[in-house]
Amino acid sequence: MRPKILYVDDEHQNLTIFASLLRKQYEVLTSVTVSGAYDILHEHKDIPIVVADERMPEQRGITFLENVKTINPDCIRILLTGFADKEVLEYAINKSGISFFIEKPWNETILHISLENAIELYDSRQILRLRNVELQKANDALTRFTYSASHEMRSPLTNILGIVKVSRLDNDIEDLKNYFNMIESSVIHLDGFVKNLIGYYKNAGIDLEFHEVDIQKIIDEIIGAFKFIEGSKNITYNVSVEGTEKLISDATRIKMVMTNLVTNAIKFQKNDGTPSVINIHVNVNASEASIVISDNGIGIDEEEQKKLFNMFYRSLHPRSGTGIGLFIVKETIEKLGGTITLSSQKEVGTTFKISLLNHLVKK
Amino acid sequence: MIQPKFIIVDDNPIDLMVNRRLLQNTFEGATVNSFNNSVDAVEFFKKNGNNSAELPNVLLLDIIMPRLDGFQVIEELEKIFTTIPFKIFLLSSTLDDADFDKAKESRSVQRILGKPLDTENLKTLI
Repeated sequence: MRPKILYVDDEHQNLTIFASLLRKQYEVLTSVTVSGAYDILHEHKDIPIVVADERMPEQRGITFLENVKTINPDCIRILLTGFADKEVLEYAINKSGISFFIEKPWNETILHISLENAIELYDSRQILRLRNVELQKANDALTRFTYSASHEMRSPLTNILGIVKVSRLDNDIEDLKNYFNMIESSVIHLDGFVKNLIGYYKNAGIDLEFHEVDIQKIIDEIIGAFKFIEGSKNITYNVSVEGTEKLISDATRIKMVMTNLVTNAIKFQKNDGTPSVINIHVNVNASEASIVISDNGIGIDEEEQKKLFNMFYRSLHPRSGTGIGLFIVKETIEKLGGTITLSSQKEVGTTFKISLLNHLVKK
Repeated sequence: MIQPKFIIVDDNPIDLMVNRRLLQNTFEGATVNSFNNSVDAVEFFKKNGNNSAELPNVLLLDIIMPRLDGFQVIEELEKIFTTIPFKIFLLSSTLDDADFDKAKESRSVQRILGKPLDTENLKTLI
């Protein structure tokens, strides 16, 4: 797309020459009157360059360009005059912040170079503005994060403080033992939170590494690791890995994501004697890998499903964790180029569906 | 002082236990009832809005809770009662400025108390 230039000059001939000279590189808008130029400015809010002749009967070019700044603060303003008197220039540059001055009659080369420089200046200002918005957003996110994280870290600490306070009131050894157990669980909770935070920053900070991923091996390792853990010994796993292509992605991150989801499936099994089943089905084609992890656990109610991936969202369920696991899962998958969705029904089970970009195509 | 009746609403079981114990120690003979989630607490007040025998003298409300947070519970209470017939204190471990501002604006909140509860301080407040 050609960048727009607005040129205002009371001499019609100048406008015609200017337009024919620059039409190839720029979309040239012209006006023979200042009032017409204001109309154009209000209509086109995205004009990067405005050029004005200094001597015009309606309004001086310099005054016009000063007003342009309030209408379109980002655009680069250029003053064109044949009467280069020092005072006008001094005023234009120092007071009105006009970026370029071109002498009339213009030298074609200088005109071109000035306009190119003006566009460059405009673009870099736009980038700067965009970066500032991004920085502001990142900063806001960080503030929210700090608030939530400090709450998550302080609450186990205040728990412990409270328990210590209460334990001073009691002499019964059984009560005291119970208090120690509570302190222990608070410490474990806090430790888990800090570990997850570290995991989060690792995910955010370390570059992705794309290699061939052996999904079957990852699944075997995850299941193997859970075999010896209380509460996960009697789970039946149905695993299938199919596909026509190899998967190119980041194995460490995929393992982290899958471990997280399997941990949840184990944590939220039914406790009513129903034999627990976890299904892991993977299918890889040239463009993507689909990973489906489903369980026959307690399920998630509809209202909670929406908030589940939010940072620090903890479900009402007493077995819920620190509220950061699924947030990291989602962030990671998005980073890898993919999506995660869930479907769940109370008392029936939960299914997480991941679709991951296969970076094979990019190679 | 007559024996006060407390209701605590907090999703954290340890906080519930600790605060109950501290209250019972500071206010001898006090009744302390509790809810571990805000939805049940609001239900209770909806049911017992006219039953002053069931209502507490003091309600201690945790701020950060799933579903309805402490401020949202107060909004619900303001719908139930024209004037809330008991004192409300918010409990917070965050001590966030935004929460303090919100609490100041609310006509129903006495103030925010840090966790763990300083019951001696609470005694002077009620």
